[in-house]
Amino acid sequence: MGLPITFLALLTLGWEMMARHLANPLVPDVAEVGAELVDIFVSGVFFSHMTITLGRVTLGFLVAFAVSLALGIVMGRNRYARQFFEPAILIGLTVPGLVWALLCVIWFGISLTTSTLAVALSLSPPLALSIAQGIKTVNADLQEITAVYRLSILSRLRFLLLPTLTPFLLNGIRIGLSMGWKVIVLVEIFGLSSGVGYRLNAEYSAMNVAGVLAWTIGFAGVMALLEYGVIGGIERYVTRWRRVATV
Amino acid sequence: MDHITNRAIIPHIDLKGGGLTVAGVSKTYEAKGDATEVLRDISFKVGEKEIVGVVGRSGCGKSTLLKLIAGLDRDYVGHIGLDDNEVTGPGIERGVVFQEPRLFPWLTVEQNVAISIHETKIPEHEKRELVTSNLALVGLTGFEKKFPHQISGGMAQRAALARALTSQPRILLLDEPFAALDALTKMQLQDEVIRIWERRRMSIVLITHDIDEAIHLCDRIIVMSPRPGEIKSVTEVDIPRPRPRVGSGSTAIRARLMSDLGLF
Repeated sequence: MGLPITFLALLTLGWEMMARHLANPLVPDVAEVGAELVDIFVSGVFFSHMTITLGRVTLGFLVAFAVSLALGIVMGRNRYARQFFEPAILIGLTVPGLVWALLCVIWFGISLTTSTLAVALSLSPPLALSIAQGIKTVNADLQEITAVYRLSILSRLRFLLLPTLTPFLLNGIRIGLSMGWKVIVLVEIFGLSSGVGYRLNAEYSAMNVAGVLAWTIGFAGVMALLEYGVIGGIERYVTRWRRVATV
Repeated sequence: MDHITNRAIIPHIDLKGGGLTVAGVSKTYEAKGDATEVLRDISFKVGEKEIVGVVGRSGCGKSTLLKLIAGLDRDYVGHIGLDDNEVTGPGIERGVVFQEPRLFPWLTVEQNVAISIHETKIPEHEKRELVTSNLALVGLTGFEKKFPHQISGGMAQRAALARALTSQPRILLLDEPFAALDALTKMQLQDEVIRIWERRRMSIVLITHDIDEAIHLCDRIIVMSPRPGEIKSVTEVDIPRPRPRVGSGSTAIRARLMSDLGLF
């Protein structure tokens, strides 16, 4: 805990020294950025826009999760399905999130479809790939047990597939979310009139560098909280059987 | 030893009546145009409450045979039936224990045991009672909440046995269930199986390569010869239970089995 804080403190210190040295309005000092941060937090603007952005990412993520779980399982199980869908995954991995964002704004305008689709399109390929790889690690012996006791498809998903896929899913979610944030901010910059991306664009247009920095810091803070708090918490919970065993 | 007289002991295959019937079962694996005959014309019957052992060298198809009876592989010729019902797939009236415990590492012992009745349409509290009583039966009371990694190999195999017993099977299919255990744990679990069998009185098919284990546990021992897997002999074990681990009663049977297995 101490080392990350030391790094952040040094970063702040370095920034302050640089700002004082340059004395340029385009490089605001720590106090200015801090004031802007306090302002957007106290007024509640940050939370209202952050909630909107979070909602959009979550929706896109849920769509991506459902699609890639189905796609990943089919691809992991069936050679022909894998060969058939492989180009789609490759294209999906190569196309930059920026392009998805642009295309979705062009085709679907200012709508929920735009943000959902743009996030889902950039999240699905890495997630599906991760799940397809995970499916290959399903234990054949345990699969036989699910056959012996005639477990239903749903029970097999619950008792065998999902637990096996957990590390792959968490990995895919991590990669996916970090990509999802970037895409949603772009979509909001291009075509939406709310959300963190929209606010970033507004501060940018007003040449308010302290505002841009304050929104970025707040945004990064929430992301870190999600990553270490929520996803880390889920990970600790779903892998407790392993954690207990290694202690 | 005279194998012809042994063969005469093969019971008349009557398709009616309780127990397990295996009649004229043959199986051929085909891979890349090469056909390998693994089982040839296997016929035997396991009566109700009877323990039948299948002994043979590795590669004689004994585990394949068990898979067919379990309904895990339906690609064979012949007939397999349990209590007048044709075996067409897996079913919880046939409990299976493999050489490995095959417990789900992310489920606790009791959750693992409950798997076998997960799809059974009975009230939750009855399921819990079944799990609790069967865990007690195999001596795992107090370990319900443990994960598989926290218990020993012998205990894990007990849990696997409890899982098979919880669905209250008509027949227990054991595929070298003690082969991976140390000698002491093995003997302990063998006696445990007999104790449980005396209380439940279900039929048991025991696949093993351990002659002493077969003699200690079984009413009848089928010796299989490899390539293709065929029944070489059937030997009745008429030693009264409880059977002593050491004693002269088993020597003759042991000698006959060893000769049937081609060991001397």
